[in-house]
Amino acid sequence: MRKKILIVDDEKDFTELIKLNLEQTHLYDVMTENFPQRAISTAKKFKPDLIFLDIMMPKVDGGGVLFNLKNDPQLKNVPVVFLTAIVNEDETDTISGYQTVSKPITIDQLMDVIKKNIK
Amino acid sequence: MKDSFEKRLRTLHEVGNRLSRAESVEELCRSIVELGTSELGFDRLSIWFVDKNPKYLIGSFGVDEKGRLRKEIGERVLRDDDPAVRHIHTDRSHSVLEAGVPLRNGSGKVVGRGAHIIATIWDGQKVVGYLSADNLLSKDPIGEHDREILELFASTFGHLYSLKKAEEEVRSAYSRLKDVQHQLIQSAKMEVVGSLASGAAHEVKNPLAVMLQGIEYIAGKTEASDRGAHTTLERMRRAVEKADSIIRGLLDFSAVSKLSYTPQNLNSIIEKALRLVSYDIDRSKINTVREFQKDLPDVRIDDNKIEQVLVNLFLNSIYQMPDGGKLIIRTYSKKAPRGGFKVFIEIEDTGPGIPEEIMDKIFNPFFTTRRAAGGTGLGLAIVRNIMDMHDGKVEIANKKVGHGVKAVLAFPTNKRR
Ligand SMILES: Nc1ncnc2c1ncn2[C@@H]1O[C@H](COP(=O)(O)OP(=O)(O)OP(=O)(O)O)[C@@H](O)[C@H]1O
Ligand SMILES: [Mg+2]
Repeated sequence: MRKKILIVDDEKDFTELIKLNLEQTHLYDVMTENFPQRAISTAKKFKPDLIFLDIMMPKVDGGGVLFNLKNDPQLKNVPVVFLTAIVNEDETDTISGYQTVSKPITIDQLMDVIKKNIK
Repeated sequence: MKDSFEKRLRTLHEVGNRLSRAESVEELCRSIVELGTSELGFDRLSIWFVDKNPKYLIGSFGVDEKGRLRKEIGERVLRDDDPAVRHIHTDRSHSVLEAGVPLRNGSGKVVGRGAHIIATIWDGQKVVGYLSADNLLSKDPIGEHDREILELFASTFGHLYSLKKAEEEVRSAYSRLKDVQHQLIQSAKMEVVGSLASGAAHEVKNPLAVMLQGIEYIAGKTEASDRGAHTTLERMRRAVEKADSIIRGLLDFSAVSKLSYTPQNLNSIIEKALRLVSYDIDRSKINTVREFQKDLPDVRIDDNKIEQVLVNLFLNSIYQMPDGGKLIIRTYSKKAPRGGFKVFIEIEDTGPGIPEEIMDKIFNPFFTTRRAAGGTGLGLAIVRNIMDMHDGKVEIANKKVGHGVKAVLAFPTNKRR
């Protein structure tokens, strides 16, 4: 079974390319969502094994999406990793306990993060 | 042989012009003694200012018993030790001439007998000091003309003194203003750099992320045999990494990247902070006393920021104990009422304490009682700011027993040890 990855980020060019690159590995099914307001309903339909969440997005930011995820009985146990274009990443970086990765990121790095966060 | 009275008046006028070019009060005083002896023919001259406590006179410049110019700044004598000064003071006259009286040196010790004139130095509002002349070395008689010349000389001096003093005050107020302004500009700059950097980071890192993904995608689609294409893609990837590292550098420099919290032992952070102020501690001969709990639980802090908190508090205490004292630093942990643990740092000094009237202002940015000594009043404002960022607390109060201040820092932690 391929692992299902949901990427919530308002940068469409970025999410499309990540999707192409991850799917090329034949290890993952990737769904992208560029509108954070729709993140919850998309997640409910897609049932991801891991969610990447951009921190800085218009209207609802990553923290807001996370709050809604954690309040949803169906989604609250799905692991979340933050994506950010601001914070300087270092391996152990976390924001309120969630791993944070800094853009730009290579596919190899991304796959490491995925493996570490999916049980 | 002294010049005629008229000639000396003309000389006095020229000397006055030269004196007005003095750059500071100190230079003015030195020139008074130098020119008064070399140009106006006085044998020994000395300047005494009235102290804040009017019972005392404070030295400035004078001529010693061997005829050498002597800096007597800071030397104190009792005003009433000198009968002539006492006389002038009660008579409200501008000068007195006495013959056959004991003559003194800069420390007030009697070094011979002779004639002696004292003239008041008047700054336009009050007597600020006395100019004294005697004939210890030359034994030339001193007469009425000398008294009049000295009185005029003292009055020129008083006038220039108030001018130079005002100039100096303006200059030092200006330079303090400059300093504060400089600091403000610095922090405003940092803010601008900070918001620029984080704005730029977002705007640049996102396109970089797209480019990197694009490069990887094309790389995956390109035949392995196409060496040219792969080298080109590799070059592009390196260019993206280079641009990214520049952005990282900018973020580090402006320190807008969030505080970095790591588990730390506060006892060792305290030692680091103490090393930073060890020079000031030694200079003021302050005893540091450490009462550390040995198995202190770690707390999650940004160690650089907390070091700054400690240094600010240490310096506040050190400034209040210029002639020595005790700096007690205590650490301990306690169970918090609402679960978890709290770690405490207490810093006590044996300075004068904080006047109750200003207690509610000390955390305000720019509130300081040490403006003249270079305080900006930002120290405690920064302390509070940083403690807030750590969900911590800072409290400052006068000690209940003895005198001095006690500052308490509280840090939350979920660890027991
Ligand atoms: N340990 C202390 N003992 C007595 N007074 C203190 C002590 N700590 C602070 N104060 C008072 O609080 C004022 C404000 O302190 P703060 O550290 O904010 O500024 P500052 O020390 O005057 O200037 P800066 O820290 O910018 O050099 C001080 O000017 C002083 O009057
Ligand atoms: Mg201070």
